[in-house]
Amino acid sequence: MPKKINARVKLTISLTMISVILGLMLSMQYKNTRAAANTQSQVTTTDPKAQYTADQLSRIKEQNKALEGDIEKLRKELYEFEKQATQAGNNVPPEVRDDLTKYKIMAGVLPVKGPGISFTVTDSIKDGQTTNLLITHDSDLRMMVNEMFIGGAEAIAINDQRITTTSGIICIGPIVMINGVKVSPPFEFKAVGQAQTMMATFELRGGVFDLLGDPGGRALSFSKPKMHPSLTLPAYAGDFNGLSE
Amino acid sequence: MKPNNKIALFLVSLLLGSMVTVQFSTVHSRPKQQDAAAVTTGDYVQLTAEMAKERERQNFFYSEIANLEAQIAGYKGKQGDRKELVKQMAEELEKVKREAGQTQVNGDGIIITIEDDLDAVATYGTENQVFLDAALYQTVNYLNGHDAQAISINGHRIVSFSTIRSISKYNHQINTQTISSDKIVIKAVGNIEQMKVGLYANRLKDAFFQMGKGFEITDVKDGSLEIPPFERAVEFKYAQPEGDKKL
Repeated sequence: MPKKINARVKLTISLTMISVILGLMLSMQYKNTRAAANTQSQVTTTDPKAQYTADQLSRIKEQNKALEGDIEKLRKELYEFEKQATQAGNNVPPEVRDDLTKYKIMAGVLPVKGPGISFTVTDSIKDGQTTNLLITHDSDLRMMVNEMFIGGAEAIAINDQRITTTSGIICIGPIVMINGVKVSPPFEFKAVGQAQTMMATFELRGGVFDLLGDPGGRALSFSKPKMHPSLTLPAYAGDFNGLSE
Repeated sequence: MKPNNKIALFLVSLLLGSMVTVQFSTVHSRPKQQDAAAVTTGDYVQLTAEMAKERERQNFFYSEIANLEAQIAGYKGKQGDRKELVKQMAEELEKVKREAGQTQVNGDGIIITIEDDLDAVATYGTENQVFLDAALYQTVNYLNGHDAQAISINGHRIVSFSTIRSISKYNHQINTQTISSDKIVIKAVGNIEQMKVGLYANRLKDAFFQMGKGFEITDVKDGSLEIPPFERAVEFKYAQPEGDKKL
């Protein structure tokens, strides 16, 4: 008799456990199906023309990235030749090379390194929703650039796009373009210059960072700015809106 | 175990097995659906705009690579020839100075005149002029974003590290030099139509109007627009070329 009870208890326990698992699985399955259905309902039909353009775009972007790498390599090589030219034997005045270097940094066509700060900014998520007022706009990024230069930056890059003489930060629909290249949030700022004074711009009451990060207002999310003893910024490889042609 | 119980267990296990299978396949097939969902008709306009920019960049990259290769070949061939080396470096310096904003630029473009406007002052007053820096900076930004090649504000050239700052309603600075806000003249050489599209699309006229300022655009199509070079000495204390000692 006790044996029988034991078997029954065992069976009840195993059945209970299986039922619990089954219940869990069912609810998960239900949730998943619902989520999948939701995604599907948001999906309008794929446009083959747009798909074709998207494929082409990703191909040309890859090519351009490789070309940018080639340009950077060639510029470094050229820079080395310029250095050699001022060395013994050639007698080219060193001021010429110093001027070349200085204006290359100013134009943004040479990668630079130096002490600086970095931080990221991204859209605000207030009440769990990102609305037009709470996304990071082209004008916000531009004002941050201005503020960093006022604060002592000598060179700035956002998501590896160097700020140059003719850099524009503009929105085309919901996408942000810097130097004609699409960049997406989070936006990573890197600035080489006087790190202490740049850090101070974040503390400034009523300053750009204070206003944009205000939890009661725009509430953009900023990471804590970090100081670096040495940061490297990439060079710009574009045509300065046709100025250099 | 009774046969009945065995059947029950078997059925439950069977059901559980099939649930797991379905669950697994749902989880795995979902990313695919999302991929397919990524490109729709609505994206087409943006994709085309991006594509045009990337094509433009690519064309420039090819010509720049040819240019750089020719320069490097030039240096290789002129080792030891001082006169030729100096000549090549002088040419290179001229190009870099132009890109940095250190030379005067002439060409077609637009002149924007920003002055107190009686209607605007009557409607909005002049209190908002403390935000003039933001509006000016946006103007420069949208001009640059729409094919401006060179810009100056009241004779001060805009370069990579230019700053625009309003200290108060009366005190505005471009490149840390005070300008008079009674009459602000922005000159921009570049693609006239594109620059105007950038200004109109971003409603800059309205922004200035709300500060009591009028915003008039004049086209210059005879190539007579002059943008002066950056006026101050340049020195970099912190930024240095990668792999180099301090300047």
